[in-house]
Amino acid sequence: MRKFLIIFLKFILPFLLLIVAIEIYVTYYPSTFNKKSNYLKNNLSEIQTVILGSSHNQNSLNPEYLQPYTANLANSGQDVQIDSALFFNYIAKLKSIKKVIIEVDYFTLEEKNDSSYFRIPWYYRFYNIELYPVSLLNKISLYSSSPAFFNKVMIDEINPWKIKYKHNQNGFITNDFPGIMEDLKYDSLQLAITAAERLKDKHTKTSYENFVFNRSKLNSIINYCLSRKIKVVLISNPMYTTYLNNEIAEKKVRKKIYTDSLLEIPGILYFDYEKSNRFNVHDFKNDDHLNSNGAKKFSLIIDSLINRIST
Amino acid sequence: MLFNSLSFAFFLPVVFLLYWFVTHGNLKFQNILLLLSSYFFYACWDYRFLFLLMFSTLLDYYTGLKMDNSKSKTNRKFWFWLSVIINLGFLGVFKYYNFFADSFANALSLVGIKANFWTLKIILPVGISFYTFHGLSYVIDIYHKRIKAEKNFYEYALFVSFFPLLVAGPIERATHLLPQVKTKRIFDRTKAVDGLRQVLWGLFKKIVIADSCAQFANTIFNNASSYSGGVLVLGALFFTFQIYCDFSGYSDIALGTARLFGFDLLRNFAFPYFSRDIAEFWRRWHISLSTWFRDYLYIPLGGSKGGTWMKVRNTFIIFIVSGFWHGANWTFIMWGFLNALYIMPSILLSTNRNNLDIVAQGKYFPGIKELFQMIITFTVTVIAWIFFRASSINHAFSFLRDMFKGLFNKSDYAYTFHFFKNEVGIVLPMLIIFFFIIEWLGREHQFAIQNWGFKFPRFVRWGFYYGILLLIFYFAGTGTKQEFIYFQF
Repeated sequence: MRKFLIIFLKFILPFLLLIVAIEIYVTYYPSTFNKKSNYLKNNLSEIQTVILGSSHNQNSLNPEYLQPYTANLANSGQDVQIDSALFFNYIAKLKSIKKVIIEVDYFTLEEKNDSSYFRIPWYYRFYNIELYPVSLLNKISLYSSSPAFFNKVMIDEINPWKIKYKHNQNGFITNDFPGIMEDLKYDSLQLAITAAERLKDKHTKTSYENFVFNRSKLNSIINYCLSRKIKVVLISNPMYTTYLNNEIAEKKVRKKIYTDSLLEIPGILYFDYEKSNRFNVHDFKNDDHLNSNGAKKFSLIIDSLINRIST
Repeated sequence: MLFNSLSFAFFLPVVFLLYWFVTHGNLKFQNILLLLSSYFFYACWDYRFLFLLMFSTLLDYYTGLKMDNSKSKTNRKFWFWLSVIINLGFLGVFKYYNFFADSFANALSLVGIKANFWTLKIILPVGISFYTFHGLSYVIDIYHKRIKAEKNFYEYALFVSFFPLLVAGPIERATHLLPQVKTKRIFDRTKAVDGLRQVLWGLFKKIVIADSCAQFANTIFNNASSYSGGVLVLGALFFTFQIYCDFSGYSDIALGTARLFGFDLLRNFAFPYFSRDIAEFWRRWHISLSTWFRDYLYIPLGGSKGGTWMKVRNTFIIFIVSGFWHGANWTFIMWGFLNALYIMPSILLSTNRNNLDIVAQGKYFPGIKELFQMIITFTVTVIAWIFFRASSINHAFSFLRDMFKGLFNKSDYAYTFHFFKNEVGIVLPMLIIFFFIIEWLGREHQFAIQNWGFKFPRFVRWGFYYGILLLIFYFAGTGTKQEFIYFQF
């Protein structure tokens, strides 16, 4: 028996060590989450601007081109309830905070993740937020929360032909990955022809219930900011024509009524660049995300607008 | 609790260590520990049905004792039939009630009578077909005085509920397992290592092959009308690998786990896809069920003693009943009927015992004739599996029709190649080929990797095991976890 256990442990030990190594890797590899949370935690007392939102804000606002000490906490798939959780978890610790930039894109107010959203444990790990109960296993092991995702990350990492993400110190991804615009050689005709199939499930969900929920979450962020004299900057990101053509009127109306109501409140700024003609096909990665050039352009525009208003 | 779950990965070592270290080899403590662990294992699925399992155990235990103590034949018969009727009654209610209600209503509607029977939302208790058959074999053996009734309740209960075999077999016999329950078990390192190897291979079959094939089989079968004939062939092939790797994978894990505790369970699979005829296939597929039906149905019906007509009748009966055992759907009955048809020529020509040995024993490659026989047997098996997997008889026939139609359509081949290249890719076919090679090389053993690499140094052998372990780890995280198919039976 003793011999059996010893041999078994000898056999299984390298495998267990491999699991530990994977766990360490997925926790510490320079991911967007890792970089952003590190930047936030290391600069708590200096940060002056916080950006919230989904992948739209994540890809469009590069802190490098904004005022110093800007933390872009927007992330892929991040909804308003996570924005709110992040905001209230850190706002008291952000001693120099002056502005909060919030995404109010076409889809922002009607999407809501449920408890099965695979990144919920990531927020627990990197920001100490437990939006929904996180299982003990997922608390201990980040890998176990999304093995398929991390398997792909590791395979891509060892694949020499795969382009690797590059982040700046704020966690913004600075290199471009091939998107549909590049795939179709920025041919606007081809992009238009193939749009219907490509966008058939893109942000097509309408939910008044989610709208009401998100509105109340946003209102609480805004109210908090206004009560503390923190400027609120609402942003609608530039979108490519194909995406705009796919928008549902009902959602657009609801969003407009809400943003119009906010504009009446002093201390709130709203920069609506959704249909801006300053952005062309070469500024986009895909129908609803800017590429790094577009992000630079947009970040500089927003920065100058904020500066102008501040002065 | 699934064998391929993380909870089982914690459960098994804990029970193993308690079993060998805390009980100090005391048989009574070991059996009680295993019984409690088995009940815990079952309760993890649904604790309410644990009472059904306990009731069934108590019923067979009690009627067994009553039969043994009966002085008169009538009395003995009474207790026997009481047990059989209640056991089959439970099985009937939980598994077949809706099937009979629907089928009866449909039959009446054919003659213009509208009947509206209640269909109930009944949850099928996992493993009911398996533990009911355990119990039935026990009472039948007592009735025929082949064994004496077990007086020790927890030992009998362990025979019925031993967790490795509780939910999907193998279907054990009292004559085989009860003596093992009653005998002092001493730790045997060779047996335990062998058990671990079998568990490893079972997990590989389930997680790497079966679950990967399931993704394609499910998509293709669920959307059969939108695919070309060639893709349907792929769907049928994927299901053929899925069902084998799923169930034999389960059986390997069950047998391997039991070995860790010093038990030898009945072998359930013996490389059935290397069979040279259907009779051989059925000697190698789900062996514990096939032999159960042989011993408790085919032979009592007269077996092959009553002339050709009797043989034909009995063969059809056991195959159809076997199909029905799998589930309350006409597709399973059709699957059983089809297999009875397949085996009929060899029954009529008395060639059903032609291939009792292992194909190409002692050789690397089969002969041309053997290869041809294996391909034919495999092909007809694939066709039968279509009925097993289809949601209805109509679905199965339209699947077959579209599949064969595609064979004569040139453009179909291009679409199939496109599907294969873009959807399936190269990884899964490579893994299936690897799996087939290992199974072929190991076909003379109890399971494929039982003796793999014994000629090589340890680092080569361990490297092979690590490779398998890594594949399991990778696919467990990447693929979609599927329940074992036989859990639904």
